[in-house]
Amino acid sequence: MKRDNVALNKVKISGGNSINFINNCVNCGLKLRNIDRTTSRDFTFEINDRDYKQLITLDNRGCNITIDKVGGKKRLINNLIYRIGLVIGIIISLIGVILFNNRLIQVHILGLTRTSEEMVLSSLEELGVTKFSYMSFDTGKLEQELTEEFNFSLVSIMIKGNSLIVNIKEELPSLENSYAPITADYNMVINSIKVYAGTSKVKEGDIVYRGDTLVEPFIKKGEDIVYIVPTAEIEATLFFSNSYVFKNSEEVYVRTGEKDIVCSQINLGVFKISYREKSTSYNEYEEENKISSASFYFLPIIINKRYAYELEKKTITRDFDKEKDNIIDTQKKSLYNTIPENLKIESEEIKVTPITNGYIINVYLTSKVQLKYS
Amino acid sequence: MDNYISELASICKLPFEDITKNFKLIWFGSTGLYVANYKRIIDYNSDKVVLKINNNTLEIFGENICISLINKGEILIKGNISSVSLGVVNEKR
Repeated sequence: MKRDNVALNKVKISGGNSINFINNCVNCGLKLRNIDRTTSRDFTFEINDRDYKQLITLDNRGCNITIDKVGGKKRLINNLIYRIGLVIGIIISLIGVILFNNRLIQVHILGLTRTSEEMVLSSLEELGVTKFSYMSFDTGKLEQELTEEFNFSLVSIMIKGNSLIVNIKEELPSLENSYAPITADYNMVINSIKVYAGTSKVKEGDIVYRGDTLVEPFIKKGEDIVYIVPTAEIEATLFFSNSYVFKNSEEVYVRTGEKDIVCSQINLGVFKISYREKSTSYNEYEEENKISSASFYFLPIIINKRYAYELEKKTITRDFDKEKDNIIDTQKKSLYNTIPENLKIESEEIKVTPITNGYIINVYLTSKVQLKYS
Repeated sequence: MDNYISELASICKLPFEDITKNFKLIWFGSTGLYVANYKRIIDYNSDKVVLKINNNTLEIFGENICISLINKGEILIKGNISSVSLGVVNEKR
């Protein structure tokens, strides 16, 4: 049984002159398909909308022309009209999806113990985060505003679907009146130490590093230990250093520009749709992952590709005399950037030590400070 | 004359049937037949199709024959085609 083509109208002609009528249609340039002789006088065939309009204007030569089945646009429109409820439902759903897809519906606030949720919500509303507003918030700015207004330690805002998730870490408890030891803030050499309260752990001439304990927050009276807030005055010489290894010639790997895909994976959310892996023909290569999100309007599709970049060994020779001044300036600049603003540098020392196939350049800065802890 | 024209047509790469006004028949196995440059349908039913071509008729016999596509000058016939013969004009009016 032949299947009807839904894009075409099925026409039936009946009469003694049917064949002549068909010949007449063909001579007028009409295209007829699947001509079937159903009885000795009846024929059916399929014809498109445009040719049908022309067909009914022709001399029918005594034949009866009827439409057995409507096709094309008319059939589609008829189908839709008879299923109007479905059509209205689909339209309403589409409108709903388009309107609400990119709008904020819920705000979740987590981590609050002392501040009320209503206060945070009203603060967010003042910053433009309201229900059904567009999800085009600058989360960094919102985090900063909330941190400043409520004095939170940490605020993290994340957009997930139609929800805004606000994670809050409230202010940490004050460390005043707690018995914490005095620790070194810098790498330094102790020039002198005067302890007014607490137990000293270092003496003159000791080298201490950042984080080392200088004064313990207790004193021992016989077998008893009494905890107190440590107080001390320390004079020290701070030292800062930076070093750079210069090689006269070294072998490095550089990319040739050729690349090959070694792995490709397509994920729909957390589900793996496709995964392909193959080995590369390069002798030396390095791999790099590239993730691109090909998300349609509703589906989170992530494409993960791993590329192998071909490498080749190259020997680079350098001239120390030409580059020495530049290297020293760069090292000094980066070292000065690590020094706190209120410190005054007293001396600068640059040391160049020759080694096999190169040099080591060391930059030293020293400063004297008087620190008071109470 | 026809040979000369067909040679000329193959050199110039022109469609043979349009130049010579002769019919062209392509038979696909035993299930399909394509005819170009026919004039009109003389008779048609499920086991026979008779076409007028120039001064002759082309008779196609078989079972469950149907005209799949018909256009000005070309026709595609499908079905279990058993034989094709060229005959003298004997139109049924």
